[in-house]
Amino acid sequence: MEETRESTAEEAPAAEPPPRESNVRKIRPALEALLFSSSRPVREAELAEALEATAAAVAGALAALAEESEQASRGIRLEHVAGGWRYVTRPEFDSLLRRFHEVTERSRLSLAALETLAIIAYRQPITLPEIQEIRGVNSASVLTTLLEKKLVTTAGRKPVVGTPFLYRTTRDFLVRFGLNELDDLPKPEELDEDLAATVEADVSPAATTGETSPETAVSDTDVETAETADEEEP
Amino acid sequence: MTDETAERALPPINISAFAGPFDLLLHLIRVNQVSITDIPIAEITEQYTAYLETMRELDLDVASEYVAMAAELIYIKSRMLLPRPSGATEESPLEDLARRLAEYERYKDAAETFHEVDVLRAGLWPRPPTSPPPSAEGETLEVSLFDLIGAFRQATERYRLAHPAALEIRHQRFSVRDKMVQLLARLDEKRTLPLLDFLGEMRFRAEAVTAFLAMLELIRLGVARAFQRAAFGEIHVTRTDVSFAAADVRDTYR
Repeated sequence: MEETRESTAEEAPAAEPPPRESNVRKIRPALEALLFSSSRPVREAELAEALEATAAAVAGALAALAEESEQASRGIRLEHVAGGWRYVTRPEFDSLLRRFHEVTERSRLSLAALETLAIIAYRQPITLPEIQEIRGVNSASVLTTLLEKKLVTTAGRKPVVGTPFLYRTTRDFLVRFGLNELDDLPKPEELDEDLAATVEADVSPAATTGETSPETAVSDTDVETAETADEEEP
Repeated sequence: MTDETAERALPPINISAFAGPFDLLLHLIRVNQVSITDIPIAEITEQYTAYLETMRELDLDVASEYVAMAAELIYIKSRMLLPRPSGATEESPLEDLARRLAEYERYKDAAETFHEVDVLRAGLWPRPPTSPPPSAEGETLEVSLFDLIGAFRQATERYRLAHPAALEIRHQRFSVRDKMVQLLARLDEKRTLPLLDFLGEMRFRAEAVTAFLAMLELIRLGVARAFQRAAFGEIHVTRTDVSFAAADVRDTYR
């Protein structure tokens, strides 16, 4: 044991990971390639890991890409959703794309499915009997539809008689409805209390791992410094 | 409220447009321009039952929940005819109904917002999911118990088609232990394999059930993991790094 510790200490300087890339301009093309090739939103921490770049550089490059994609001359834009980033087409090209890809029908959620989804979203984790109590109608088949569409999932069992399954919304739910986190759900005042409880329970480590929004002042400054440095280099 | 109002409130409506009895009740309350907290129970009950009657005449299937609500309305109406015991502080049935309706309405409103957002966002096209090369671990989706059961049902269905019942002549016993050893051997040879392929190798229904249980047991032990690469995609079983050999199976499950 003692020996191992010593040898590690000796090798420490050599084994230290190379410094992370902090130049925004250098990582930007690779970042764009990563996002272009991903269909699901990618978290900033994942991007930083893949690019071996600092969180600030990733945030800066994302802000630059996002700003660029907001220009009217672009057909796609960078979207910040479900705690991650991805490219989507602009809404005005929907009919064009539908014609080109011959998409006629789109799976819509029924009124019953939307109601059930709303109840789960605001009251999660919640059991089927509780949902039915609120809706006043049997909701088992609607719930199955939501499970199949992966908009909700099970969240353990409630320790009451019959130990019914508890249900919660998924990341796909956040993506579909353009939310970054459950906290972004529109809040009717009456729902505030329930929501507060929900959000507290749902703060998972994954959702909070140092993701800096590019809108923050810190990363903005970083962009500028990094770009100035780059210009001075040659 | 006059009879005239009651009749005006009964336009031919598409009953399937209602998501349940609360939805129909809210509609009637809105049509009559009354407040949820001040429901004219007699009129509303009358209109509600008239709707159900119309549905029956049109030969529509009236879900039992609608009938139950009609019964509840009539019960509330009857309760209100009786004098309340003095000093009673509990919630009256009408107040209880109003509270439930108000709660339902909040989620109904939220559902409408969800619908609007959903329609808007359906116009944004993300990149379609690409399938990574089979060797790549890639981005995988969590497989739920429901997905696993679904895959198992598919496998038994395939089995049923491939093996008509009349051919099942021998009774055989299968053990989860043997199937664990078999699955482990397959995983050690291929590391990742489609669940349906493995279940498809089983010749008997009971054997497939045993194989499925063996897979669940290996997942529980952390020796194997199930995943799929896309929604509704094929479910794969893969070996994890947890060390576990056929001998361990025999030692553990004696």
